[in-house]
Amino acid sequence: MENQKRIIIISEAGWQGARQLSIELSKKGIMAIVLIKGRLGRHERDMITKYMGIKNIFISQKLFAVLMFAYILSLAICFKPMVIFVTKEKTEKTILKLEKFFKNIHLARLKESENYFSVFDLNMGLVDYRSYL
Amino acid sequence: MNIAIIFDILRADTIGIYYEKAFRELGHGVDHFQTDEMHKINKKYDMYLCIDDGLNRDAIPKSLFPKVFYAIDVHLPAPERKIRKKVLNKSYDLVFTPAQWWINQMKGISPVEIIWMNQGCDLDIHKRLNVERNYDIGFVGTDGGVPRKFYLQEIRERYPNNFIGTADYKDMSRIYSASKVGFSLPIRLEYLTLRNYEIMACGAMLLMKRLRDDSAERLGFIDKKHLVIFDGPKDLFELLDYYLKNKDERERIAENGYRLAIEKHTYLHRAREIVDIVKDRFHLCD
Repeated sequence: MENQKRIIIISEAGWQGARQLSIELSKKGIMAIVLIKGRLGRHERDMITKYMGIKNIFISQKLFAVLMFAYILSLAICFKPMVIFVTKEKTEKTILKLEKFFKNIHLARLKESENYFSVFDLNMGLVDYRSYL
Repeated sequence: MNIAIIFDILRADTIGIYYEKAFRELGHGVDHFQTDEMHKINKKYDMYLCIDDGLNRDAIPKSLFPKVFYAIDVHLPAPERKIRKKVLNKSYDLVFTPAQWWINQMKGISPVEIIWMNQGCDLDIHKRLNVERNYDIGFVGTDGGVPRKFYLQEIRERYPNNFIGTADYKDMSRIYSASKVGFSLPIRLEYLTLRNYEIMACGAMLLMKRLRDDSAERLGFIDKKHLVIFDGPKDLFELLDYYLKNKDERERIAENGYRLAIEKHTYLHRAREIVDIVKDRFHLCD
C-alpha cells in the first residue's frame, strides 16, 4: 500500500462521496487520509467498515478549520507531494492560498452525485480522479 | 368554520399543503395566504392558522383573532430563536408544536398556551401500493449531517439492495411500498417526524433510532408491535439482519404500523383536533 503522493480527502459536506472515493483508492492499493468534520461516538466510529489504507480522522466542528489547515501546512512545509480533494468551496479557497506558496499541493473538488461521486478541477471542469494520482 | 391558512409554498410536499387539504376535506372554508400576504387578510375568518417553517419574517396583524401558530422547526437554532421571539411577543393567541421538549422549555415563560401536536400522513400522497418489495431498505431524503450520513452510508455498503436518496415526493409511496424496511434517524432525535409516518403509511416496516421524547409511545406506537427501535449501530445491524430474514414478523409489524398510522394519525385527524381545540379555547361555534 504505497503511493508517492499523499491523498487527503476533506469531508465536510456529505460523506458518501468522500467515502466512495477512499474505497476506490483502497481497492487500487492507494492510501487515503480522510479528514472528517464532526465527531462521532465510539460505537458509531467502530460501525464504519475498515478498508486497508483508509485512515478516517474525525475532528470536532469547532476545531476543524484550524486543525485541517495546520495539518496540510505541516505536510506542505515538509515538501510532501499531496493531492487534496475538498467538498466545500470555502475550504478550497483557503487551501488555494497555500497552493500559491507550495507547489507540492494539488487541489480538486469532490462532489456527490446520483449515489456516486464526481471530481472537478479548479475551473469546475469534470475530470477523472485518476489523473491526479 | 372559515379558516385563513398561512404558509409559504417552498416545496410541493410542505406540511401546510397537507393541512389545507385536510381542512377542506373536513368541510371547512379555507383560503391560503403566503406569509408576505398576511397584511392583506381581512377579519372574516374564524381562525388564522400560520404554519411556520421558521423562515418567514413577516408579522401577523395584531387585529386578527384568533391567531394560531403551528411551530415546526424549533429543533433548528436559528428558526427556534425567531419562533421563540414571536411567541414571547404574544404575536399569536395559541401555539401548537410537535416538540414536547420545547413546550417544557417554554413552560412558565410563554404568555400563551402551547399544545403538543405531532405530525401525520396524507393518504393521497403516502399510500401503500401493491408492488414487489424489491428493496431491502428504503430511505427517502438527504443524507443529513452527523451522525445520520454515516449510518446511511454504512447501510449502503452493507445492504447494496437499497433505495437511499432523494426522490420526488410523488415517488415516495412506490419506494417505501417496495421496501422491506424503512429507515429513520431524525437528525436531532427530537420527536416522531413526518418520515416515520410516511414509511408506515406506505406499508414498510419502520426501523427508527430511539427518540429523545416519548412521542411514539404517546401516539400508541409500540416497539416491535408497530415499529422497531434501535439504540446504536450494533443494534441496528442485528435488527436489520433479523427482520430481513424473518418476513412474517416483519410484515406483521409493518401491517400494524400501517393500520395505526392510517386509522389514527392522518392530517385529517390532526386538523380535526386543531379545530376542536381552537373552538374550545376561543368559545367558537359552528
